[in-house]
Amino acid sequence: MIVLNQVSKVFNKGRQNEFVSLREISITIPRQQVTVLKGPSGSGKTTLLSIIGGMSRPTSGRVTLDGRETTSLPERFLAALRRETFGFIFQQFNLISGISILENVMLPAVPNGERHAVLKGRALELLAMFGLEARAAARVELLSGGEMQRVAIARALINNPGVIIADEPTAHLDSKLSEELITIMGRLKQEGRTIIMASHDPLVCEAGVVDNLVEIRDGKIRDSAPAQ
Amino acid sequence: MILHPSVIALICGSLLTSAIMLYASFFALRIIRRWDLASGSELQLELEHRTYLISTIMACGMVFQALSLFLFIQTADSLSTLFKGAMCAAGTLNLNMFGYPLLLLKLAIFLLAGLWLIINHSDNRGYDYPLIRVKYLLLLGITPLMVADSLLLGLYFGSMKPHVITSCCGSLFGSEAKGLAPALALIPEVPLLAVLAAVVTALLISGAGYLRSGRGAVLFSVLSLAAFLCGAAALVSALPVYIYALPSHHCPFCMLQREYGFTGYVYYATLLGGAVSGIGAGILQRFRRIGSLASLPVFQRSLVTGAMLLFAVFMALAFWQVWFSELRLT
Repeated sequence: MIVLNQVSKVFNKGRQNEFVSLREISITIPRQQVTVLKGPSGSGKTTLLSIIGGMSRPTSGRVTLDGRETTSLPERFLAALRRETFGFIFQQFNLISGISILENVMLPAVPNGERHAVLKGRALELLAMFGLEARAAARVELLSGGEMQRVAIARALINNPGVIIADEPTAHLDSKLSEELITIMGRLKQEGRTIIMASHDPLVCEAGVVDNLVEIRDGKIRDSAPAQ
Repeated sequence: MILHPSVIALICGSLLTSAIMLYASFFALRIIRRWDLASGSELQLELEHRTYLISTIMACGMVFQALSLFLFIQTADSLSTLFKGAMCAAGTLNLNMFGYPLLLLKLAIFLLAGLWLIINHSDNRGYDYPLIRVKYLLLLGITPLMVADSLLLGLYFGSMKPHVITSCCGSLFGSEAKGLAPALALIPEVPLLAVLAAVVTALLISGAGYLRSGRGAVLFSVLSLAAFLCGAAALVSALPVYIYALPSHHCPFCMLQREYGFTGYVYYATLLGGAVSGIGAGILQRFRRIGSLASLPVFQRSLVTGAMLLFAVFMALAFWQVWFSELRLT
């Protein structure tokens, strides 16, 4: 269970361009379910996702993950927790060009110090799961949008995380690819993973796989309810 | 003031470190008074964000201040050619009333900075800042010493008068001189070396016992302090006479020079390093029961091993030099 307690985030505090992104957000995100953070652009969804995933820290408030407080963790502990617990799928996929698909997938696990052959084997298994085994040596620049999306998901899964965080994962996809992504998310949920997505795409918000819908606007929670 | 590069480096480094220390002390007061990990307040989160940066900068400052002891001794030694009567660092330090107090202050800072680094390293092993108050309290204790160090450095180098004829080691550590150093020089050499050997042997046995059973860290710590004091006394009383093969020459500084293979630096580094590691291992014993410091025994073992090695090197070098000295005392 991921619990956010009175989480606020202010950028450029005390300066002329101060911006309050989140205002005292308190929510509980259940494990092994799909939760979607819904809201317009600039509502604070991405900031909230990055705080949940330990990529940024709140200005005030606390986040606990299965009872363990995460926001006070010193950086090296937070980095380890992030690596072990969360898999990230970014809006622009953020794949690293110039290296192969296989290397992109292996990258988040490199700091773990695992044996290269074992890691490579696992990355190839993941690529095979998404039908990309034959393209393992291809460079990222040569991929189609759908392939990039699947590589990004494979990369998010390389450390076998319990929580998948996806920020607007369908923003650059057509309807067919979006539905494919939702199917994959359903599969990951069945495997027992927790999925947290930020999206304002109706295809995502109204998908049958979604368990909870949290509506955010102007940095505040407007509504939080089980999906219909 | 003599604008020697080392003098400029020492003064600038010390001023910079003192300025950082003063700022960190202000932060330390806030930590000691307001730290509350259970709170999610803006202030608490700000303190959490900043402590990592401040302790990292402070660690660099502490390392600089500890190492500046050696730069200071080397500078005092190299400046001895500029003053009449000075033949080594002993004469340069005696140029005015600030030299020797500054040396003692730098020794104290070395030991305290070393202990602070050990506590800081241990604190960084815990996910919940387990030693944060201890390390900032110690920092508050070290800050006045650092500021005094900057002041004394300025006064010492600023008061150097080229026309002053100074006394050097021959008279400063001679039998007619007064003070702590000549008193140390009067300690009989052979018994002192025997005591030193006994203390270091006890320390090595105690360390081996600790490494085997995980017990006796405090005893090891006390023995480290005793070995440090005996070693320091031997560096004035017993070892110089064998190193220089002169029964009346008790200078602990001439051995820093090329003619004696710069062995003084090895003695000082091993003695001080051994003392810091050994005492640090004992201090950490107090915090072993803190849940988030489960890795502390591993660090303690490293410290004990390090201290044993350093004291062993000190003893080996000392006895090698005594054994092969041209001087024989009965």
